Amino acid sequence: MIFQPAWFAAEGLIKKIEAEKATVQIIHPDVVVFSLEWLQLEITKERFVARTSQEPYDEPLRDLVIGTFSLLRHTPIRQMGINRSMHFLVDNEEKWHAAGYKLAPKEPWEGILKRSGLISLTIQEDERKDGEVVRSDGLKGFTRVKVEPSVKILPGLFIEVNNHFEARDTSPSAGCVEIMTVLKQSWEASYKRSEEIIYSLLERLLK
Amino acid sequence: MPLRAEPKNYETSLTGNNFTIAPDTDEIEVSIFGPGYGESILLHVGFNNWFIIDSCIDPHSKAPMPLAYLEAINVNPAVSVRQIIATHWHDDHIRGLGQTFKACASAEFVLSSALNSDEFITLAVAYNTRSMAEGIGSKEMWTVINEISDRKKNGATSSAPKFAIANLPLWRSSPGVTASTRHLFKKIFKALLRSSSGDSAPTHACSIHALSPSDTAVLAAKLDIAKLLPTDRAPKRALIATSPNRAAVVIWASIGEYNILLGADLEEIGDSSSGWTGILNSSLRPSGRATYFKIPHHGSITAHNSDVWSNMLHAKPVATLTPYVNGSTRLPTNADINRISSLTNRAFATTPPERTVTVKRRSGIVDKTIKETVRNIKQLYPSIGHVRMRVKPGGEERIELFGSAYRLS
Amino acid sequence: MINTMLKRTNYKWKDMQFDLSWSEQVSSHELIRPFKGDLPKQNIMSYVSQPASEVSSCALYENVYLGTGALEEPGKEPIPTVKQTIATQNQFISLQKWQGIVVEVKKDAFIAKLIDLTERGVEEEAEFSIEEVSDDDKELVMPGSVFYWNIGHQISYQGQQTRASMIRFRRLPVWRKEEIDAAKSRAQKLRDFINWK
Repeated sequence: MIFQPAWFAAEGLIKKIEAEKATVQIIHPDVVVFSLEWLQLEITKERFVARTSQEPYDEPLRDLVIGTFSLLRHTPIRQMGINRSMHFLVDNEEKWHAAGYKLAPKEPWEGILKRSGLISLTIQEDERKDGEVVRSDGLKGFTRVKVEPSVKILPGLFIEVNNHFEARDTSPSAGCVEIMTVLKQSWEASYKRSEEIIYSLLERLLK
Repeated sequence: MPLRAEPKNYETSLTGNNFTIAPDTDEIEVSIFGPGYGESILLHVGFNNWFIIDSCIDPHSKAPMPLAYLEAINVNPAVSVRQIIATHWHDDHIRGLGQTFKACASAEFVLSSALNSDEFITLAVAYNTRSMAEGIGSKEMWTVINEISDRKKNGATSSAPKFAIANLPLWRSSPGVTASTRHLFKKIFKALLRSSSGDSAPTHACSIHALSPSDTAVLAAKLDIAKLLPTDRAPKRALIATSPNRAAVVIWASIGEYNILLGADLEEIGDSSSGWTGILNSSLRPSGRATYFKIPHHGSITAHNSDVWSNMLHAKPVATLTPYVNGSTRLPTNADINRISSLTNRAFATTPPERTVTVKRRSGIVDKTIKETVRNIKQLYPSIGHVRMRVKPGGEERIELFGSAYRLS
Repeated sequence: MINTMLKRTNYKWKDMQFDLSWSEQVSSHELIRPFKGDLPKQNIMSYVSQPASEVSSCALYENVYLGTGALEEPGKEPIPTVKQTIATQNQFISLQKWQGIVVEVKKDAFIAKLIDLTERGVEEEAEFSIEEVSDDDKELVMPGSVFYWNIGHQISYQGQQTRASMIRFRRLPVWRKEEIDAAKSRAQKLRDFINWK
C-alpha cells in the first residue's frame, strides 16, 4: 500500500512539513492510519476514510480525496459517504431532555422500561425508482441522519448527516471516475443540504 | 413586472416602466446588459427573430441575463432565438452562456474561428474532466460542446457550430411577402408560414456579418491558445483566458437601412491586417454607416480608432458600453469618458464606474478581521444595468435605461 | 431558514468525513485477523509506531491481538478500532469562508477574485499582502492558483479563544502526460463527432 504521508507530500497533496510532522499510528501493507494537524486518515484494502474537525479544511479535504483518486483512477470505488456531523451545546438540561422527548416520546415505553432514554435515532431518506434506491437529487444512494446525545459536550446533541452515494457502473473495469464526478458535482449541494438538515432539525428540537 | 400565474424560470432584479413590454413585430431592438463585469447583447431584427451576443448573469438571481430578459418580455427562447454568438471566450463575456444555449433549442452557435482548433477542444476536455480548476470561460464552453454533442445524438441535423471570420455572412433573411398577403396566406395555410425563421420572415432585408477576426488574428490566437495547454508536470491552476482580444468577433447587422456595429472586445493592435485597422482596410466588409455602436472593450483607449467613428458610423451615433473592473484595471477611465463624450452626445453605459464596486458588510468580528488581513476589498457587480434601444424602420431611436444604466454624454 | 444565532454561537465540534469503499464494507480490523496466529506480539507492536494517546500500549496489543473474542467469531462486530483521537487539538470555528483565485501578482501583493462560500452568490475582489501567505504556500501564489480564506475563532485545547484568519492554497497533483494524452484523444473524437471544424 502506497498511502504514507510522504507519498501524499510527494504528489503535492499535502505540505512537506505536514508529512514530516504526521502522527503515524500504523503503516502496514493492508492498513494505514495517520493524522496531521487537520486530517485523520484510515485506509485499508477496501476502504478510504478521511476526516477533519477543522472547518477551514472541509474544502482541502475534498481536494485531497479528489486529488488522490485522480492519481488512482482505476480504483473501483463503488460507494462514497460524505458525512457531516456536529456536537451542539444546548442551553440547559431541560431543553436537552425536551429534544429527546420530541424525537422519541416516552409513552410507548412506559411500563416496559424503567427510566428509558434516547441513545440513538437514525432516519433515512430515499426513494425507490426504476428498481434502485435513489436520493432526492436523483443519484443512486440515500441520505441518513443520526441524532444522539453528545458524548463530547453536556448537555449536547450530536447530529450526523450521511450523504451516501453509489456508483451505477459496477463493471470490473470501471474505476472511480463516476464517483469522483459525483463528488465534484454534488459537493456544494450536499454540503449546503447537510447544514440545512442539521440546523432545521436543531431549530425544531430546541424551539 | 406584471404578475404571472406561472412561476418564473429566470428571475431578474431589473424592473421599470415598460420593462416587460416586448418590441413590436417590426421594431428593431438592441438591448445591452452589464453587471459591472460581463456583458450581454440581445438583438431583435424583427418578427420575433432574436440574436444573443455573449452572456452575463443577473447578480442577484444568478440567472443568465438573456434568458431572464426574454422570459420577462414573454419571448420563448426555444423557438425565437436564431443564433447565439460568443464573441470570444473570456470570462466576462460568457457567464451563463452554456445554460442559455441549452434553452435556445433551435439556435445555431457561432464563435470565433480562433477556437476552431484541436488545441481548444483539448483545453476544454482537459480542464473540465481532469482538473478542478476549469475557469469560467472553459466551463461554459464545455457546456456548449456537450450540448452540441447531445443535440447531434438526438438527431439534430444542424447542430454543428459556425466559425466566424472576417466578412463571413452569419445570417441572412430575404425580404418576404407584404403583411397583408401574409395575413391572407396565414388564414388558409397557417402551418406553411411557420418556417424555421421564427414567426415569419421580416419584410425588409436583414443580414448579419462578422467583420473579424482576420486570418492573421486567427493564427495568432490559435498560437496563444496552444500555449495554454497543460504540459507534463505543470501545476494544475485555474484556466484564465488572456488578452489581447485579437480574435474577438465584431458584428455588423443590417436591418433594411439601419446598421448596427457591435464592437465586442476587439482592440487595436497596430497591425494593418488585424484589429480595427484590419476591418477598415477590408474591401469586403458591408458598406454603409451604423447608427448604433457598441463601443469595444469597455471604452478603453486600446480599442479606439478614430477612423471607425469617421468612416463606419453616422455622426453622433447611439453608443453604448459596459464597464469593466478586474484587478487594478477599471474601464472606462475618465479620459475615455471625455473622449467618447466628444464624439457623440448619445452615449450610455450600463453601470457607472463608481457603482461597480461596493464593500459588502458582514458581522463586526468578520469585518474587523478582513480589514486587518487585506489591503482593500470590494464587492463585484452589485448591480446590473440595461440600456435598451428600439427603433422602427425610418423612425427615431427610443432609448430606455433600467437598473444602474446611465447616460454618459 | 437557518437560525443564524444558532449557527454562530453554540456548536462546538464539526466534523467532515469522506468514506469511500470499493467492496462490501469490511471492518479494517478483520484484516488483522489472518495475522493473529502468525505474528508474535513484538511484530504486531512494531507496526504501531505511536500508540494513540487514549490507549496504552498493552491495551492496544490486547485489542489488536486478542480482541474481545470477536477474532474467533466470524461475522460479529469485531475489533475495536485503533483509535486515532488527537488528544491535544486546537479548533477553528469558521465564521466566514471564501474560495479565492489569484488574478494578478505584484511585487509584494496579489489580487484575487473571491467567491463567498458562506453566503453563496457574492463575488468580491481583494488585495492581499504576500506576508499573509504561509512560507510553504508562497511558491503557489501565481495567476490561476486557488486558495481558501477562513475567518473565525481559533480555540486552543485549553479553551483560549482568539480571532483568526487563515489562508491555505489548494494542492492538486500536477498534470501528467497520460492525462493530457487522454484529453487529446477524447478531444479528437469529440471534434469529429460534433463537426467542430
